[in-house]
Amino acid sequence: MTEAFRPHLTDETLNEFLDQALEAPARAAVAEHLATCAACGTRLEALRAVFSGLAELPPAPLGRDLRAGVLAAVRAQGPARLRPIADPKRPAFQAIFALQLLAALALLAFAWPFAASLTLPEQLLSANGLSTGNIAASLAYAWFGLSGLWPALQQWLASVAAQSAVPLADALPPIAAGVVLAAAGLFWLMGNALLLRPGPAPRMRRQS
Amino acid sequence: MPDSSDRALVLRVRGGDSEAFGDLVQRYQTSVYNVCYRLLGETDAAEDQAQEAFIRAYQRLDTFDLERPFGPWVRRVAANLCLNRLAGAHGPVLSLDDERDEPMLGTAPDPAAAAEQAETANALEAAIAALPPHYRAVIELRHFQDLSYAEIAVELGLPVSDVKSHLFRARKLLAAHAALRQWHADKHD
Repeated sequence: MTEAFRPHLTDETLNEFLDQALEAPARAAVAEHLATCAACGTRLEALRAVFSGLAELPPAPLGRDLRAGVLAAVRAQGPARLRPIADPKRPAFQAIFALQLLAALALLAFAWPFAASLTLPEQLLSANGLSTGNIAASLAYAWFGLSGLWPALQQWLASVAAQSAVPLADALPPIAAGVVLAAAGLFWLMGNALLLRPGPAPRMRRQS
Repeated sequence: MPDSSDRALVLRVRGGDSEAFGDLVQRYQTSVYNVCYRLLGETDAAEDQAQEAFIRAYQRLDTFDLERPFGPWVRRVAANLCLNRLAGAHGPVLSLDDERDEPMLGTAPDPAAAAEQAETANALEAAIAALPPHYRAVIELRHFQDLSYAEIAVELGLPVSDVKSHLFRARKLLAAHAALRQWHADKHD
């Protein structure tokens, strides 16, 4: 190929060449082109001047010492701010923790009879190993169990109203155990999120 | 003699010795200020943002990975603060409707004034400051924070193709800046 018909390198290629962003074969091809193409070499040098200018840019002098202002703000918030955990001595912490613990324990106590009676369909228990079919069957089972939860609960409430209530554990589908356990976990996590959240950032004031 | 490495200072601060943070501030305040100055182009605003960057770093010191150097981390904190400030002042930092290839006028120094300072490094500072904010952002993150295209894209929430486009245009503007060309020629004469 003669010089006249050889396409020049694009700006993007030259930039990526200097950014070390080209794969080895492309980089070698660009280097080969640059070795014989003066026009592209000139463009590369102009671009390289930007790179070296930025790299050699001397630091701008800082007009004031920032330590006093930073340390004043840091002292104002105190070392406890470094820990994201709230102060356990605060009444709010203790109240939230007590509520969280009570709610989680109550839900666990409620869920226990369901968990004890939880059984899986025979076809799932007899299956060998994990397969796509087993997973699909398990999901379908969970879905049908969940979809039957609300009607069963309504039926039980109606039986309570009619004063002919059966034990709740007998009235609800076994999948209720999973739902209640999940709710207990959710309560626990939400409580932790409240308890462990960092305190508000102090407002910065410029210190001259 | 107490260990004065960055790691030791961070551990002392985490242990409750907030005064040790002053040593870290002293060590990195100039480089942090320069990040802010390059991105904001104003000395007062850059000093305020640098101070706030250190306070923010102190608040988040528990998230700092002790196996990594402190300097790049605190400079990244400063860059993020400035990018948020630019986004607040000018809309999204990388607004796609601002694709013009002329230096932004108004808040940035006058390019003509910068050209008169052709023989000093101030010319390059002025050329950077005259760039639109989203171009300054990619220049800062690529050349001074040493991030890859992909990392810049994550940082700014942009496609890599847009990052490249902004970066290449910004460099083109800097390369075309008469003051920069003269400054660079003088340095290599």
